[in-house]
Amino acid sequence: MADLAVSANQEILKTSGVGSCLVVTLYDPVNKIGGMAHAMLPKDTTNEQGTPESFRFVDDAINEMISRITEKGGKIDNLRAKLVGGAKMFSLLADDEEGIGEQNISSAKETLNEKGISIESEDIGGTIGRRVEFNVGTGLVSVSTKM
Amino acid sequence: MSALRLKQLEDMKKSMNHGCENASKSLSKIMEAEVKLSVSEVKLMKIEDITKKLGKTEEIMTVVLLNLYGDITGTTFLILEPESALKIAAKLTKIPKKDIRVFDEFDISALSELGNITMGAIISALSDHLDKDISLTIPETVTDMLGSTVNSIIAHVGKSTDKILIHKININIAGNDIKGNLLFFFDPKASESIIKIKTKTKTNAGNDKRGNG
Repeated sequence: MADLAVSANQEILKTSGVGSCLVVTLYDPVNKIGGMAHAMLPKDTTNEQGTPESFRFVDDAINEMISRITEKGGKIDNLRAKLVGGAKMFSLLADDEEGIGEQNISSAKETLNEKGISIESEDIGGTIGRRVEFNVGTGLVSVSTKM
Repeated sequence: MSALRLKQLEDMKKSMNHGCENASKSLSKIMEAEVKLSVSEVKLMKIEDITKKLGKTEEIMTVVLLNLYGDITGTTFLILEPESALKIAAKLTKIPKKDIRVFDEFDISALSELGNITMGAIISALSDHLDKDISLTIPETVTDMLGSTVNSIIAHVGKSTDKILIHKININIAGNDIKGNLLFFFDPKASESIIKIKTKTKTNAGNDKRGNG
């Protein structure tokens, strides 16, 4: 959680325990470079950049992934995004109209839209936790649940 | 929050432990077994580090959650292995469980009651101690991956902070091989308010002593 990884080595990136958090994958299929972030909160309101140790905010995490992917030779025009998570695990925690999960999803869509990156697919919302695997070699994302 | 000192954390621990004693007595009677609750840790933790301290993120756990409202706000939740949760439910409902993997409405209701009794006793003690009005919402029970549930709670409490003040309470029920954790996450403003009250109480007590002497 509050972390991200970028790879150009056809690895499989994994994360689990995704509840209201949001997992964002970005993939350049031409250069086979991809990244995955597991962020917990929608927007960084502190105007500070995330640190290398912690990418708690969806917007910071997406921006950092784009920067690391392009550093490795990926092209922003090639990038496609997938979104997983943003569940409402407890109705008690949705004290406003939107729970944190919904806000995380909105933040990701807004940030990706600003960068001109299209969302290829998504498995979002609901009330259950998810585990995510991202195959950087193929761009495929697999999602599992434990109900 | 930065002014939070070790001594002040110890004071909070004492006050929570008083509530734990009351909760232990009530639960021991209802469960017909020795139930022991004790505060194991009071700590200010970075939000990224909390879940991994509680177990494996993929492990399936049952979480009974209640929100605190009134003068002191925050969240409290009980974490149990589903098997332990069902053993407790069976004990409270006096209905033996055939299938240890399925929760029915009686189990959920029993676990909610467990949350009410346990958290209620602790909050009542804390409320008396601080002379503040603290109330609890009705409980909500969810069984899912530890990371999915706890990270969602952390995200809710940690919206405006890097660190959360955590009270971790161990639960042991003799003869039933049941162990669990109960956690209190106070909102950052509530934590500061608790410390201020404690500091003020201490100052007044000190003045009284001098006056009498």
